[in-house]
Amino acid sequence: MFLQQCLNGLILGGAYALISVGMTMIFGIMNISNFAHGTIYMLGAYCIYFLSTAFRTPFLIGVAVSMLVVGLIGVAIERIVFRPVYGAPVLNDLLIALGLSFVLENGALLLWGSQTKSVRTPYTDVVFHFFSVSVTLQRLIALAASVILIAGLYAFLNYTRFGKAIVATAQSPKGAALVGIDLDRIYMTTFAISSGLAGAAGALLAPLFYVFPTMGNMPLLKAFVVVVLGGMGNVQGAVVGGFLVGIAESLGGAYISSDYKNVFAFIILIGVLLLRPQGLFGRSESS
Amino acid sequence: MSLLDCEELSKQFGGLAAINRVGLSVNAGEIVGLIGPNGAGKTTLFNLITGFLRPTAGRIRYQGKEITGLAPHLIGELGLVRTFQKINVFPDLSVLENVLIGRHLHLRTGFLHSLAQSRSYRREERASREKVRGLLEFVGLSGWEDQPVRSLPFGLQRALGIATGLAAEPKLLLLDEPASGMNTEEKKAVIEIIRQIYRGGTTLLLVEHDMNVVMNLCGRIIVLDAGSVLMEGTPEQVQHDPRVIEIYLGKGYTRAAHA
Amino acid sequence: MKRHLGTVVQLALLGLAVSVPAVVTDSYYQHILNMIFLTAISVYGFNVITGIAGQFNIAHAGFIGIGAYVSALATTRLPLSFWTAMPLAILATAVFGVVIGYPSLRLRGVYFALTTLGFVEILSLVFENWVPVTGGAMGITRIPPPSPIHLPGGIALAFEEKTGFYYLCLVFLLAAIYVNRQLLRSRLGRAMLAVRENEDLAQSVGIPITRTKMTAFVLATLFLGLTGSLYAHYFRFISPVSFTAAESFRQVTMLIVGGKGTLLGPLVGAAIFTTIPEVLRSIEDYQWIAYGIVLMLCVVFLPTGIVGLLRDLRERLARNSPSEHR
Repeated sequence: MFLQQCLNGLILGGAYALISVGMTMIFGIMNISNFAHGTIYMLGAYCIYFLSTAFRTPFLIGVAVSMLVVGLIGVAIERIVFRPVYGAPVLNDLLIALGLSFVLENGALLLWGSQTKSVRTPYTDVVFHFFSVSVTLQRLIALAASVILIAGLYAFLNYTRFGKAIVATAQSPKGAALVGIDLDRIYMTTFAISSGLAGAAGALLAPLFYVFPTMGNMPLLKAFVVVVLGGMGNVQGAVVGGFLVGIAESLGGAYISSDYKNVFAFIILIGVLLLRPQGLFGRSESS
Repeated sequence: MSLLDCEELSKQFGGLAAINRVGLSVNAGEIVGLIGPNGAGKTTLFNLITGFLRPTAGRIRYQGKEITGLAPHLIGELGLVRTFQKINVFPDLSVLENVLIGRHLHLRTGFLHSLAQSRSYRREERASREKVRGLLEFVGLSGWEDQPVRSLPFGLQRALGIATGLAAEPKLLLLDEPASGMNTEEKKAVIEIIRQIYRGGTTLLLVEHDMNVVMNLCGRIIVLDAGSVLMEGTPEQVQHDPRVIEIYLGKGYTRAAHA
Repeated sequence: MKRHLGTVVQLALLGLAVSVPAVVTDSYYQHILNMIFLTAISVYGFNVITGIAGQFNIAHAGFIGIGAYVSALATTRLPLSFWTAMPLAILATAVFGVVIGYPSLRLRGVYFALTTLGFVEILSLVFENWVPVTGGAMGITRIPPPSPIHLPGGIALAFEEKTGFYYLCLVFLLAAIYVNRQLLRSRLGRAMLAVRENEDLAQSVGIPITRTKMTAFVLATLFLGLTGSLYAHYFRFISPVSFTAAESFRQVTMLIVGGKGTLLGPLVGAAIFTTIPEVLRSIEDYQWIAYGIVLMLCVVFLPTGIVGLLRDLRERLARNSPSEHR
């Protein structure tokens, strides 16, 4: 039971990490809290749904395409919605993201209906048993893909020129501008990556759960928890935090209470904010 | 009498000493200038004195009493008010409302009084508005009372910031680059305003890059470089000190000056 | 001259408001008016903490829930009357306000908002799962209406009908508007505006940031406890779905579109968002998309909402009055 829940927690945590990494990057670089991030995740799920039902796309290709499509949507969102509120009071970007989430969520509801949809793949029926755990191939793929994508992001940020430029901008936007880094392109790329990863998470998890317009709400909240836990703006914090929250939730739900399963994440959120607002990996402000 | 005293003041950020064992004092009735190249730590020093940063070592005394580490609003309560180099206004409010907020410490009637619209509340409202209009006139903003701050030209926004600070009736006013970004006309106006403030009995400590402004106004100047006090003296002394010339213009010029 | 005109207009509007139930007899329209007034009271509370003091309290609807559940329990489990339960509900909500506000308000900006989000989610979970007390998803039913008030002379004010409730809400709405109005003209209200606009500058002139935010927060919870209690005794049934973060988001939209920090903004916002779904039933499916777009547009183009826009237009018209062109 314990091992099973740990494995479930890892799989869940991988997804949380994928969703949260993008959110923390947007916060670190543009100081924006993207309340619409959950709806972007949702779009990824609908994307794979349509790809697999209408076009019969093989699953992994479908995930890649979903990632691309949602990434492009992210770029459009950055240019149209968030660009006007750079530098505005904090409340403004919260509210504009909120408005965007209304539009996207209800747009999905209007276009595709409130009935839950499911995505079938050949992997959901293949089950592995080892030690005392059982896991479907689908879930293993979800975990593996999460790890691969996160590793890819890590490589991109640390070993490519553009990736390093993004890291530099996160540390000092003014400094970055001074050395000639094109902030516009950085912002666009960050949004593209963030949305792409969230879309990938949506696509990877779609076969495991149901697809419906409000499916992004809870993941959004969990993403906030992870981002705060890891330290806002801190990418490795989001990864570690994602797995921690996933495991805490699985274990808490199994051993303490399944009705209140979600409460553990929020207790972590409030606990971190009140006791150590800079999170596990963040630096405390000096004043 | 010494109004403000900084003793062995230090501030470390990680491994970097932004302020290193600084000692300075300001006496009542003085107008002191604080100069130094970019990054010398002038604004950090202001932040330490006014409670926006905690020093890693050292003490600050105001009117003989220790204020090290006190919260900024308590320091304001004691009569030590500062202005800010960047945004020194309340952006989405009118000019009048901006300065009215500065009157906070000197308003006595609380919320219950305003709910009841008591006589003391109405009297105080009238009196503060009069006072605020007077301050606006003093800084050259008459007629702008109901304008939104955003419609003000930059020079007038700085003037507004000074008016808001004055509304708190400070004993010691710390001005952080009051003339920055201004043209010659505006600078002349601001110099005159500062002179009037000084003549009104307020002690002043100001950070400024424009040498004209500093030399014109200040009786004493403190020079800061790389977090430490390089020297202090009269404008005359500072202008001719080779070390000061060096930190602003580089070593080559000093040698040329002595050649 | 202008001030007298204002007073005359105000009295006329008051007279109109008082006589409405005589004219509007259809219970459906009365219900709409009651909903507008009730929602407006809570949006005025939102205005205090978010519009004036600038702190985004996502736990807004959760506090309404606390007021509602306390009032409902006090009148169904205990034999208390509405007139005792309501102040009790307000007090309980304020206590929660202090308990939640004290640790949270030390945080700035989005960190504070997220903390309140955490709290409202926890409250939602408790409302849904603590079945012995809250009734769980089924909620609490058979909540009694306020008992009649007997005045000297044999007149009784009854609140079982919508008309009675109309006047009850009207009284509290006027009180809410008055409190907002006087707040904006008081030392406390200006301190809140200062905190919203520029925390550092506010501190430099002696304004204590956390204490000001706390006062705004607790003051807002008074409005919310009141709203919760009124809500419970009007609908006579409450369930957890009304007190979620989504409801907070819905009401903050009303505040922003109506005009945050303005005097009539909350009422206008509440009116628009209550009547439009009723009047334009055909667009029901599109309404939230429209709300989202309007919200985004207001954030960028109309920071003081519709009321602010009307105010600006009126000022511009006054400046371009005929006497200027000769």
